[in-house]
Amino acid sequence: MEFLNYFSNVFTFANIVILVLGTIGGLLLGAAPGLSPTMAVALLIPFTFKMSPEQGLIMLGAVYTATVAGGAISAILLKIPGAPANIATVMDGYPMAKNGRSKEALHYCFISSFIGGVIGIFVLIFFTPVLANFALKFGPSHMFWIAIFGVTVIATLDSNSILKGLFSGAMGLWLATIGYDSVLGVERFVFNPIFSGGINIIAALVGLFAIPQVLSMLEDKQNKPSDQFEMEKRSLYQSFIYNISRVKALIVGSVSGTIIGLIPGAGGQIAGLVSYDQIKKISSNRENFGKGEPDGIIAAESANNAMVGPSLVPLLTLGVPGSPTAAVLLGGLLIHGMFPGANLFSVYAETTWTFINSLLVAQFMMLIFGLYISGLAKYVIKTPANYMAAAITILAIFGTYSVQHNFADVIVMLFLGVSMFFLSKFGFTAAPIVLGLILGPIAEINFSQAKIIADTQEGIFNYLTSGALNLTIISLCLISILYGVFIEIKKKNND
Amino acid sequence: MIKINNLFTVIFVLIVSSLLGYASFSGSSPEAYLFPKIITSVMISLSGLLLIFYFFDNKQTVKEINLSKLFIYLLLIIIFLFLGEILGFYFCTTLIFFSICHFYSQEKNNLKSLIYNVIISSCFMLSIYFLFSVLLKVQVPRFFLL
Repeated sequence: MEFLNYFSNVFTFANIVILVLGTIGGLLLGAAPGLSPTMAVALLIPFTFKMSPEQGLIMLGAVYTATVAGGAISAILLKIPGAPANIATVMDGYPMAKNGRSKEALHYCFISSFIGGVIGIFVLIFFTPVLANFALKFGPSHMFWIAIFGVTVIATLDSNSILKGLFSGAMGLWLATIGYDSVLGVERFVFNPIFSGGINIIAALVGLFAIPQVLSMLEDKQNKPSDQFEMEKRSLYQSFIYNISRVKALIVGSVSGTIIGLIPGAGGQIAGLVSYDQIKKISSNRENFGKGEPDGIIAAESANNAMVGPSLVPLLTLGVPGSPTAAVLLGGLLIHGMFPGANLFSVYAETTWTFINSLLVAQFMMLIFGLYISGLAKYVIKTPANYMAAAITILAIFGTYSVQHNFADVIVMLFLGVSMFFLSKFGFTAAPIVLGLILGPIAEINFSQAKIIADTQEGIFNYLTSGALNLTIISLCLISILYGVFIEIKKKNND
Repeated sequence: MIKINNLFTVIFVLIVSSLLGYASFSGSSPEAYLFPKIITSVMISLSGLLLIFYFFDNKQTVKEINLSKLFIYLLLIIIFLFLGEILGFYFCTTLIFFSICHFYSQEKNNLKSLIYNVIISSCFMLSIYFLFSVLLKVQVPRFFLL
């Protein structure tokens, strides 16, 4: 119950203001079609640089929570998921809105997101310290394999092609080697003096996630805001009573979301779709699914928010993110000098627990503001793509520059962003590159340390491949790759 | 509109990984370049596999990129990269913001929309100035008053 000792830290004036702004901002960003939670968190990381670690993480956590829920607004009103996590919400949310029940659908969405989210945060609170203590047993070879595991997991799950995903991950690992070698101090791949400090993680994050999105918006011919439905009158109390009576849908959503969140790399999209599929199979109203069945929204939304907390469990303990957004959040931790592992719960206990507690409070804020903002979100949804693209570009430029006051970072950000846009056309994705870039230094430092130890013993290959823990992590890497191959083959056969 | 065959991308990826491999293997300190050597070897192997699988794949993908639509945006970015520090951030980004709003507008560009875009750009840039220069005290490159 250590988390209770730091609960009051959340309720300082500054933290509450940050939570409110993060939640409202996240809901609006989530509601805007095309702005994913990953991009929203990436875009905000430069702003947190000026804040204390505690405040920075509270802001990112609130945005992460709120964008996932906010994405349901456009999914229900426009049939456009605000985020990949809301794909399953479209299936019954839009038909409900079409049948004149848009407000009711939005009520279910935020109430279920809240219930699922709170369950997920409790899993985070009780699981993380246990796993963090286990991580203390890890030596350099284990940490090296854990970093590789993180990259392989994201590479296989966040990409259409396993080879392209793995290539992107390797590219990220290589990009991380630019600059000074952290063990020997040798300058590497500094083709131009602007690279002597290496690739700035924030510049890469913003560029890889924001700029391709802007280019896609501008390239898309149909960037006109769509029409949406007028909202009916519906009592919140009525929706609340109905929502909590749908126990089966809530359990299916929250449990599957929690389990999927714990699996590194899986993310909200899988959580939403799996729970939707499960509730459809066991529901007595099976024939109503796809035509506006509330259980479909309740299961999908409780699942994608239940995923948020557990997706941070492997991130905070091992540095392996549970979702692409958690991968970006790792960048937020690192810029404040906080490395995943047991240290987070000893040296940085106050900051870490305040952050985790703030996620719990963010769920309440998401519920309150979500229900209120869902009525106003139509204005954000109607923002034309050209204004959205212009605003993101300017925020990306200023945000990146503000971190180090270095114009080279802006050059790197724009170059990586434009390159990523072209690569994304052919199935390459940003998340493995970013994770490779973030986990690259961890992998390399531990590899170098392992080599120093191994040179006095049995050699690097034997050192890295001996012991039960090493073999377990290597097996997990292979399983994640084989799983990716299996999914790809299955997809090709279905096509 | 340009069409790019997947083969072009695969070859491009192979060339990039080979160049990075060359840079890694010709590094001055063998110890410091050991990790990059391993990574680039993996990259070359993966791009080689991509090339092999390309020929086994029955569906040859050709992607279209609407470069004419993106031309203005890319041009603005290039101008910013060369002149951003000289002309100042606020001047250049106001120009970028206005140009994106104006040239990518779905509505007809008439005097009314022009004025509307000028107002939107000014308001947005004022809020950016307030956020970065006043609140966060970020010193950005400037030119005269901007």
